Amino acid sequence: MTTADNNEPTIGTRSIFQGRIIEVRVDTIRLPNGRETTREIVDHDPSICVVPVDDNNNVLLVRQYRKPTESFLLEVPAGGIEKGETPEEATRRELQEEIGHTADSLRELTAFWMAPGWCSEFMYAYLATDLTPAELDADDDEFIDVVRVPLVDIPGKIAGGEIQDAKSVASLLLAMRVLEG
Amino acid sequence: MAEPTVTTVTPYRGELITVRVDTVSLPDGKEAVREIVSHPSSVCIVPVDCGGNVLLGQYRKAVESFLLEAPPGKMEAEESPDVTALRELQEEIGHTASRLQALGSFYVAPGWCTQMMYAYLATDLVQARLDADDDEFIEVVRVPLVDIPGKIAGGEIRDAKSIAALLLAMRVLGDNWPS
Repeated sequence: MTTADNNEPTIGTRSIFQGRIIEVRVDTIRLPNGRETTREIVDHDPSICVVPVDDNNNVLLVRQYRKPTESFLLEVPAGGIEKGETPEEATRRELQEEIGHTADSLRELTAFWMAPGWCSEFMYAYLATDLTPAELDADDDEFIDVVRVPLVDIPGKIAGGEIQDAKSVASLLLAMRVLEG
Repeated sequence: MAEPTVTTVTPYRGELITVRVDTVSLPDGKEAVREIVSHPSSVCIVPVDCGGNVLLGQYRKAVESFLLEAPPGKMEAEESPDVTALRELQEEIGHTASRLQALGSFYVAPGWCTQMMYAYLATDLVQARLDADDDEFIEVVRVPLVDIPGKIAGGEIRDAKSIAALLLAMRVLGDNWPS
């Protein structure tokens, strides 16, 4: 079987849940061997994350309570792309909302699916440098602390489990490769 | 300050995921709604043979496209992550590994999902019988380790767990291993 033959045509779809940030559907699909099976799929709008690095080689991370994990996590700033926004515009908005900075330089690091087995969320990752403090314009229901971490300490914080989510690990390690040449 | 739950409802309990909506109390006394998907913990594996990486091209329904991925798999009840990693290595790419090294663990999407992913580096690989799941169709592709950064930059490797796990593995092995 070649790659081109391997697809899963949708035979039926059933909407299960429609929330504010996620929707859930169950698709019935046909497998390459002709049998049918179902896939539970979470639809989520595209999003961005950003690695902001100041002139002294500190990364500005955010510490916030995450209800799904019932813990405080140290993460790179991230957020959803709003209707009509480009990924770059969403990145600039989130830099302002989450860490109160603007950036003169914004470089796309890569883009990735968050959980391609069962979720449609696609995330763009950026590196932001030449930062300038600006007015913090936070969301009403977000309580976020900004934490400056020297770039050289990032691998230790990943290894030690202090930085513990996929987008942050992926984008921080990519940013280090770019900045270290 | 944590976000204590005021009320919770569960609109969906599926085979793989459960959806719940929690109303939480915020530090300022106001309330907010958190939509949360519960998903079993999982593993992903970076299997490295004596000359290159073994990755998968697996059809992924949710994104309607083929992706090269580090082999993933769900942890069964009562299973430890290293046991899952060895089982999935066999089921997904038909290999066993004499050496399994933990690379770290990370939440997949902590803003709305409970799923934890344990990443492993598997080396000293031995080919074994392929024992695939009934509804998975997987093609194994070998990619030299030195080509991984280019494939990430070029968008051929395009999922968060694979990028995170591969870059962690490269830090352990060094970019040019095994040259």
